[in-house]
Amino acid sequence: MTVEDCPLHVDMVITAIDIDERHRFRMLELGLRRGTVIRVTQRSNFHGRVVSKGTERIALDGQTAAHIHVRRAEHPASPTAPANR
Amino acid sequence: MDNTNHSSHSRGFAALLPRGKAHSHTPAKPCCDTGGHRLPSGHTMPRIVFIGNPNVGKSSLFNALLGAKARVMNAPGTTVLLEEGVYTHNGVPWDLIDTPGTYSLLPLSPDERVAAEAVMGINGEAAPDLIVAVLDATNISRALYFLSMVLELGRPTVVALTMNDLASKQGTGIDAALLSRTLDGVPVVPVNGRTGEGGRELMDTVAASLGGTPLPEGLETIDPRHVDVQRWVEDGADERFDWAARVLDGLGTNARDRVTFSDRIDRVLLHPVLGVLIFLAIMLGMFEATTTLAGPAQDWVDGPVRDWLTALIDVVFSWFGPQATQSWFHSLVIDGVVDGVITIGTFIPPMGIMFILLSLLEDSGYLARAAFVMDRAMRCMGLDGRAFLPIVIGFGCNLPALAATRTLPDSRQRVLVGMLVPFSSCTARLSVYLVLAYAFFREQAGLVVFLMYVCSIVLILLLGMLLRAVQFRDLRSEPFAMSLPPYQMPRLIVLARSVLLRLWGFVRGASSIIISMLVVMWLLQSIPATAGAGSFAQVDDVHDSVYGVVADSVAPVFAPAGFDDWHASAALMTGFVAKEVVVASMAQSYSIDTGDEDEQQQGEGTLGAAMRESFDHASGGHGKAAAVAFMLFTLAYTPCLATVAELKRQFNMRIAMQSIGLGLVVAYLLAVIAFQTLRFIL
Ligand SMILES: Nc1nc2c(ncn2[C@@H]2O[C@H](COP(=O)(O)OP(=O)(O)O)[C@@H](O)[C@H]2O)c(=O)[nH]1
Ligand SMILES: [Mg+2]
Repeated sequence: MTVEDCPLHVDMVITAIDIDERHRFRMLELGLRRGTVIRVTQRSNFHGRVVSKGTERIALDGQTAAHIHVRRAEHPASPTAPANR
Repeated sequence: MDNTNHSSHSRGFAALLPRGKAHSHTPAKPCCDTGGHRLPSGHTMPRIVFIGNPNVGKSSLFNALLGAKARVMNAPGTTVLLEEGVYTHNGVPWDLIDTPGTYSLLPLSPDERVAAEAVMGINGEAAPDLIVAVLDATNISRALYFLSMVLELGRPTVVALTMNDLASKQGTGIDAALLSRTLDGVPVVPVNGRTGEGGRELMDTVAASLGGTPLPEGLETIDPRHVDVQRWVEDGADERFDWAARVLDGLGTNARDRVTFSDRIDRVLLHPVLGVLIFLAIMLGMFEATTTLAGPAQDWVDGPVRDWLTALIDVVFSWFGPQATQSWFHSLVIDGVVDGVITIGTFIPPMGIMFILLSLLEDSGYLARAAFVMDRAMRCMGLDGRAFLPIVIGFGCNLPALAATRTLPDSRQRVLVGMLVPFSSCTARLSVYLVLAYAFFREQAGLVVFLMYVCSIVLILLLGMLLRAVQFRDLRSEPFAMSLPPYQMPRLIVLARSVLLRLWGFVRGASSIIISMLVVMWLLQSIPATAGAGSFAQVDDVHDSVYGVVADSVAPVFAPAGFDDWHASAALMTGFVAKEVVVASMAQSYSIDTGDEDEQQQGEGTLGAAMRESFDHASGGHGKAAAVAFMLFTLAYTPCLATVAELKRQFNMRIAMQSIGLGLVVAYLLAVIAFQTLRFIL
C-alpha cells in the first residue's frame, strides 16, 4: 500500500520511501520517515494527497504519494507512536 | 509566558564553548558580505540572522521589528531575496537579516543555499554574531530537527517561537520556559509575527545572549568552514531526529490526530474537481479586481487629478509673470515630470488592489493550497502552481502581475515568470489591436483580436520552454512536498500596514526610472532638428524634432516587416513608454484629431484610412500583412516603461535589460516572419 492508495483517516506507518536519494533525505527532514505514523486526510487532483502527522499537514503530489509505502498501524491512534526511524 | 528565567545565557557561557565568539573576529570578505554595514568607528555591527522553515512567520516578525526600515535586496550575484535592516536596541545598531525559508542546511535550491550560507557564515558570508531561529509551534517536531543543526553551528542562538496562538487553539500550545529548560537553557521567546507581540522581549533576549548561549546535551558543535556540510548534515541526521524526539517528549505535548477546521475547509478547497474550479474562480476574481475595479480609479487619476495638478502648476508659474507658462521649463514640468507622476499614480490602484489580494491569499493560508491545486498543471513548465497567478493577472496589467511573482519562493522561478509576464497581452495592448483590426479587417476584427490573445498564450508556453532549455536548465520539476498552514482570518491592521509598505516600496522604487525616462522623451520631442522647426520646447510637428529624426532613422529597420514608415516607428517608440498612447501618437503624427471616438470609430474613420494608406504604401500593397506584423510587434516588445522599472525593482537592472532585449528580438522575428508569410495571402 502507498500513501496514494491507502484509506483516508486511518493511522498508517511509513515502511519505505522510494524516491531519489536527494529528495528522500528531504522527506526525512520534513518528518516523513520509516516508522512515522501518518494519516491521509485529503485526496486532491491528479492523485495529490494531504497527510497529517499530529497537527502538521503535508501536501504531496501524486507521484511522490505513490512512492511512499505504508502499512496499517498496529495500535490504532496511539499518540506516542515512535516519530523517528 | 515567562521567558526571562534562562539562568545560564547571561553568565558568559560563551567562554565555556569550544568555539564561542571567536569566529566573529574573522573579518568578512567585504566584497561579498551581504550585510556590509560598518559603523563609522570601523567596527562592524553585530550581525543577526533570522532563519527557519518556510512560512513560520519570519518575515512577519522581521517586519514587525523593522517596519519601513527593512530593505529587500538580492543576495550577491543571485536573484535570491534577502531582507535587511538596521535595528537600534538601546542606542546600539544591529544588522538584522531575514533569510529565505529552508527545511535544511543542506540546500536543494539557490534560495535555500543563500539561507544556509548566511547562517553558517561560509562562502564569503560573514558569520552571524547571533542566530534567531524562528520555530513554528504548530510544526514543532520538524522545527526542532532544524534547530538542532542551527545549534551545532555553535553561534549564540535565540529561539523565537511563533504560531503559539494557533498551537494553543489546537491544544498543543508550547510552554516557552519549559522548552528553554528542555533545551538546557537556550533562550526561547514566544512571539507573534502578526501582532509583533514579544518582539521587544526577543530583542532584549538577543542583547543578553550576544555573549553566547548554551549548547544542549546530545549535540556537538562543528565549524561549518571546516567540515563537509553534506556529510555533517546527513551523517548526523539520525542522532538529530532522536534528539528532537527527546525534546518533544520532554515538552509532553501530545499532538493528537484529529480532524481540524482547516481539514474541513480543505475538503472543499482541495477537492479534485471543486478545488480547481474554486481556484479558477479566485483567479478570475483577482483579474477582475485589478482591471475592472481598478479602472475607474485609474481614469480618475489620469483625468481630474492630472487636470488639477496641471492647473495648480499653472497657477504657481503665473506668479512669475505671463511668459512663465510659455517657457520650456513649464513644458518640462507639465509634459515630463507631471506625466511621470501621473503614470505612477495610475498604477497605484491596480497595485494597491493586488497587494491587498496577495496579502489576503498569504495570510489566509490559501496560497499554499493554490500551489498544490495547480501543481500538476504548471509542472509541465517546470513551474510552481503559484506561477499561474502572475501570468493570468498579466492579461489585465503586467505591473501587478510582476508584483505577484513575489509569491514564488524559488528565485529562479520568480525570474523566469518575470521574463514571461511581459508576453501576456495586457488590456493596454488591446486598444492598439482594436484600432488596427477595425482599420484593416473590419468584419473579421473580432477574430483577429482573438487570435492575438491565442498568440500571446502560445508565445508564453514556447518561450517558457525555450528559457528553461537555455537559461534555467537547473530548474527541474521536484517532488512536491509542502507543509500546509492552518487557515486563519487575515488581520485588518496587519494587512493595511503591509499593503501600505509595499505600495510605498513600489512608488519609491519605480518613480526615478519612470520620471527620468519621460523627461528624456520630452527632451527628444523638444529639440528642433530641422530648419524652421521652431525653437527649443516649441516644436509644432513631432516629425521636426529629434524624436522624429530618430523615428525616421529607425523606420527602415521595419522594412522586412512591412512597415517602413515613420508614423509606425514613432508610435512604437511611444509605445515603449505605454501602450495606451500608441494610437494617440499615431493620430498625432497624422495630425488627425480623433476626439472622443472609440476604437472602432477610429479604425473605420479617418485615422484608419490614413493608416491603411501608409501601411499599404510601406508594404508594397500588403497593408493587411503589415498591420498583422505591427500588432504582433506590439504584442511582444516591452509592454511599458513601468514594467521595466518594476522588473528592475523586483530583480535587477540586468534582468530588466534582458527582458527588453528578449521582447525586441521576439517581436521583430515574429513581425518579420508574419509579414513575409502573410503577404502571399493578404
Ligand atoms: N497566528 C499566527 N500567524 C502568524 C504568526 N506569525 C506569522 N503568521 C502568519 O503566517 C504567515 C506566514 O508568515 P511569513 O512571515 O510570511 O512567514 P515566512 O515564510 O517565515 O517569512 C503569514 O500569513 C502571517 O500572517 C503568529 O505568530 N501567529
Ligand atoms: Mg518570508
